[in-house]
Amino acid sequence: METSTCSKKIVQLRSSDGQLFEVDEEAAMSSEILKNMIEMGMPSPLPLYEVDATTLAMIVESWNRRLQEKRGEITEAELERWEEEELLKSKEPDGDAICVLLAANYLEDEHLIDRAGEAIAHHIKDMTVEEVRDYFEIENDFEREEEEKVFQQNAWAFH
Amino acid sequence: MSQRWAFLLGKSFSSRRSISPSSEILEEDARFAGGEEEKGASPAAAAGEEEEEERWAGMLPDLMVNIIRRVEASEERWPRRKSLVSCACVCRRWREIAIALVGPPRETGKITFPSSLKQPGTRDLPIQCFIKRNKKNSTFYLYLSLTQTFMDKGKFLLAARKYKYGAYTEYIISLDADDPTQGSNAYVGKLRSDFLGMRFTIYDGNPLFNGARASGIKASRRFFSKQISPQVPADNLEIGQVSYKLNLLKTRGPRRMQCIVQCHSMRGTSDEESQLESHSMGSLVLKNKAPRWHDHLQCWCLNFHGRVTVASVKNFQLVAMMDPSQPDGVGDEETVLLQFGKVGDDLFTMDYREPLSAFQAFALCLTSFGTKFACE
Repeated sequence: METSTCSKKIVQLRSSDGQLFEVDEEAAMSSEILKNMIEMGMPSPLPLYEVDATTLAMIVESWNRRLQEKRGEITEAELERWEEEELLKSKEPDGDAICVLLAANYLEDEHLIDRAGEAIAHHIKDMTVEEVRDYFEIENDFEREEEEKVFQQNAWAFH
Repeated sequence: MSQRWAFLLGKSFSSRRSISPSSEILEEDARFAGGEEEKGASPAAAAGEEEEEERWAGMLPDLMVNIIRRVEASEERWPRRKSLVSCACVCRRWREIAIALVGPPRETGKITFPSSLKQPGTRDLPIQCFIKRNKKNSTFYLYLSLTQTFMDKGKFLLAARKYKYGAYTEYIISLDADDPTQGSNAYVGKLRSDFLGMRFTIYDGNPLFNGARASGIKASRRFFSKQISPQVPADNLEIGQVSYKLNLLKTRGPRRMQCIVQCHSMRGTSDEESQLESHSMGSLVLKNKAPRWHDHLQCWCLNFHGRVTVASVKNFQLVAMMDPSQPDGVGDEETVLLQFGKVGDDLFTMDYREPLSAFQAFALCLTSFGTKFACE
C-alpha cells in the first residue's frame, strides 16, 4: 500500500479474514466509520468485520487515488477512469460493483457508494428481469397469480 | 430475502477470489467471518452472527432504493422507462420500492406502470396521446405522445377492439395490443353501446395490479375486489355513462354529448398513505363545449390549439358542468378536461387532464367512433 513521501500518520486496518493493511490516515478518513474510530482513539489495528481482504485492498487503493487527486497528483478524469475501469469494471457485467457497494456502505464512504450505485444502475438498465435476478441472486418471490400479472406488465412496457 | 443477501455476501467476499489461505476456512462459514483470532465457535458467536445478519438485511433495502432510484431518475422517458418496469418485476421488495419511488401521473406527469392508466392525469397541462384506428381488425390503439409532432412512434398504452353483438356493441379495452379480450390478464375494462350508438356505459374491469395495498377504500369495495382466479375478471364496475343527442334542426350540426364519470376526489393529498386510504369517488358530469359557427368559413369551430387538424363531427372538447351539490367539485366550464380530434385518416389526438384517467379518456373517445348516425 502506498504511503506518501511526507511523514503522515498511518493507521492499521484488519480485514474480516485477518489481513492487515497500512493506510494513510488521511486516506482512511474517506470512511465515516474509520473516521469515528480514529477520532475516538481506538487502538490499531482497526477491525473491519465485514470487509474481506480482497475488497479492502481495492477500497484502500481507491482511497489512495482520491488522495492523489486531491493533492493534484492525478486529474479528476484519471481518477474517474480508474474507478470505472479498474475498481468497478463497468464494462464487464460481472464486475465488482456489488462488492464495492456493500463494503462502501459498511464503511460509510459516500463517494464510493455513489460511484458503485451508479455503475450498478447502469449495468441493470438494459437487463431483462431474469438477468437482474441472476445479477443480484434475488429469488422470484411472486405468487403464481401475481407472476402472471407481472409478466403482463413487463410485456406491456416492452411493447 | 435476507438469506439470499447473506448468501450473496458470502459468495462475493470469499468464493469469487480466494487469495489468502484463511479464506478456505471461511468458505464454510462464509457469511460473517470474524478473523482468525476469534475462534470461539460458541453459541454466543452464532447469536452474534444472527444479529449481524439482521443488520445486513436491514441495511440492504437502502442500497436497493439507491439503485432503483438511480434507474428511475435516469430513465424518465419512454421507451427507456421500461427499465423501471423491469425493476418492478424482479421481486416483491423491488416492486414496493419502484412503486413508492414513482409518484402518480398527477404529480409527475409521467406514465410508468399500467396502474398509471387508471390514475388521474395532470392538473395544469394535459397529457398528450394519440389514437390509431385499424379498420381491418376493428381495433383502436392508444399511445402516449413522446414528441410534439404527430409522427412519433409513441408509447403503447391501451388497445380497444370492437365486438358487435345483436343488440349492442362492446369495445374491450386491454393492455394486450395483439389480443384484446375480456378473459385475459390484460383486460382493463370495456365500453358498451346500445344498438343505435347513442348511449354508452363504461365498465372498469380488474383494478390494475401494482402491488399496492388496496385496503381501506371507502367508496366501493368492488373497485378493488380481490381476484381469485386471474382468468375470470372481477365484476365489471360501472364507472361512467355517455349519451349523445343529435342536432336535428341543423344537418351536419354538432351533436351534444353528456357524460357522467366516477372519478377520484381531487382533494390534494400530500402523502401516499392518505391517498390510498382516504380515497373517495365522486361523480364528474361533463358536456362537450359548443362549437361556434363561423359564417365566412361556413363551419363549426372549436379552438383545438393546433392539436386537431382535420374537421370531423367526431372532434370534441369536454368540460365539467358545475354541480352545486358538490361544493369542492372539480373544474369550471372553460377548462377542457378532454380533447379529441382527427389529424389523419386513421389518426386522432387525445389530450386529457385530471380528474380523468387515461383509461376513462380513451373510453370516452371511443364513444365518438361508436355513434352510428354521425355524418362526416
